Amino acid sequence: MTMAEQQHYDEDLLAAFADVPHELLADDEHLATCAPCAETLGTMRATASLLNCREIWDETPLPTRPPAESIEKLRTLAATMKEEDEIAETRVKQLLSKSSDTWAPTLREHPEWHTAGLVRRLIAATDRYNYTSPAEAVELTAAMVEVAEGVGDNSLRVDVLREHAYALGCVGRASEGMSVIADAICVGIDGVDPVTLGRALLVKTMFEAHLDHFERAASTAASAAILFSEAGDANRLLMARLYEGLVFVNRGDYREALNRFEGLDRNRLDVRSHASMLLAEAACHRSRNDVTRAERSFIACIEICDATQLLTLRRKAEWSFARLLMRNGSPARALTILRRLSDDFSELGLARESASLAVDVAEIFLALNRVAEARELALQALRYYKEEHLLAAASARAALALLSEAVKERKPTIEFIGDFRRLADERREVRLLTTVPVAIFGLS
Amino acid sequence: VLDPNAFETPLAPPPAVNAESAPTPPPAVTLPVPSAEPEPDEIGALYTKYWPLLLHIACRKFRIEQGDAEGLVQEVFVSFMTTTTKVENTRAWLVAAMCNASRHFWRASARTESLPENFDDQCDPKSGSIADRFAMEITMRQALDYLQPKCRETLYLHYYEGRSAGDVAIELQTTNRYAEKLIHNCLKRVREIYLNMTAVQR
Repeated sequence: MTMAEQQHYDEDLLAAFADVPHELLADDEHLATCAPCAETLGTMRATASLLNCREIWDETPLPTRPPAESIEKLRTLAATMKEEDEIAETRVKQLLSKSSDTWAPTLREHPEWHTAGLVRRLIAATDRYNYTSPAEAVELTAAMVEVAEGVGDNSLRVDVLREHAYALGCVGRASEGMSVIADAICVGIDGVDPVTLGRALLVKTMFEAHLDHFERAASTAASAAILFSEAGDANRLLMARLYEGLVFVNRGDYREALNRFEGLDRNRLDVRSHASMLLAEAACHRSRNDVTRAERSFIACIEICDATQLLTLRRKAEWSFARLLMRNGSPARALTILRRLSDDFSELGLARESASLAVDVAEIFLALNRVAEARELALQALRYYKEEHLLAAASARAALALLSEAVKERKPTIEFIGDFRRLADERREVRLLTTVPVAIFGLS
Repeated sequence: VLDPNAFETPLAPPPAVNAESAPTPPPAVTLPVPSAEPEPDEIGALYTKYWPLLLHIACRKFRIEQGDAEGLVQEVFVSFMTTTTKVENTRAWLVAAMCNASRHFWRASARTESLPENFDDQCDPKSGSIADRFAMEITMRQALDYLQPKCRETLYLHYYEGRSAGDVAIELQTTNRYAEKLIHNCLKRVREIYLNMTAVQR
């Protein structure tokens, strides 16, 4: 053991070192090897740094206890909220026990129900519809927006607008959803709640990715991440990071997306987000022709979905798996899966998914020379993209135009289909992943 | 319809580092942060607990008058109570919300008053989190109250005003050597008090 290691520096010396730039101490052998001395010097420096702060020296005295009346105000508010929530609980149960077409009329008939408590209870109920019955989630959230307008709480307005936008995104009504989430952010930007605004930004990320605005989507996700980080919300910060990864998937940068997913702490992800990430990961592997890893990720995703009854996500995983089969010479098996899923998506009202899936099925028909059926499906998809103003998305437009032309010509060849896929396949398919209902709302 | 870009407030870029010329800094050591006590369930108790911290942020960091600041603290708490989102870290959430409320206050007042410096600061990159930073500031203020006036003045002159030991010696009418000794002793003393305070609270 050397002398440098044996004898600690005394505190006087370390206090003197606090003013010395660290690069001048870089050669000090003892400090480099003695953890206690390095620690003491570190806290000396931190103390000195804190003493440089203006706020430390402000002489104006501040009270240390709040006025009694302000405490009382908050207690009264807490009691009112509790009462409102209890009443709303019963009303929401009553409302949701009826069919979805009665929800909005019932709420209009009962203006006396319109309280913040009712909105809070409805928001809490929305999540389960997003994952089991997305079309009903749209109806419910639309009704919530109407109610919240009259309640006069901006934070709740942001919440319901965000829920409504998300529900619209789930059923593929992208342009409408984008407009709704823009309204939510417009209201939320003046609020004080950082997490509520961050959640709205995350939904905006989803729409921007849909519309191929990848740079903007990445920036929006990063802004959300900062808000979550400042609010100490580790779970949502993780979710923002997951969204950043999904933006890379959408952009076709699979390597970077996989790097992002690798960096996430999977043990902290909630079950739905974990399943969504596995699905995106599988698509990345497949796009990089790593079939083994792709299959492994698909299976892991489907297992989670089965264990937790994530029906919509499971269907999307099956769909993605069917595309793997298409690429690996099993079009008949793929077709069976896709046709079943097509029925399911129509029934669930998932318009975007139905349109994209129609194009997949059309491709198989084209390969099988069933041209009339292929054309019909391609046109069906085109109608949707036109209505939703999604024709501007370059890959969707190119893919569908090519398909449409091929169908018109009635001269599809295997080579043509191969070229078509190379042009359109990757981008269109992975874009669908942003409609995967990542559970950003499932944390509360 | 809102311009989708409208909300995109610019974020502070990370500090630029010249990889060739910048020496590798030692691992960052920060002071311990007071309290890891469980949060009280009752809203009045929670409000009482965080009142000094939030008031400190509004009044000292954002230079808002006490009366207005008290109103903002109340607003932040109402928002905390009514949010439908589960709050994972109460202190960090409250601090972030208080910073937002203070910034909104100044933006709303900007037409008639000049803004204080750094009113729009993001999280201090030197500290683990902005909430920790404010908690450390409050504790350090309390630690300074335990010092002798001369010690306090020495630290103020050297660390806050940035004056050299020679300047401090002139100001305190003493020798350079004694001023240096005083600076080092006072730094040791305030650090010791700070560490004792946080150790007791933990």
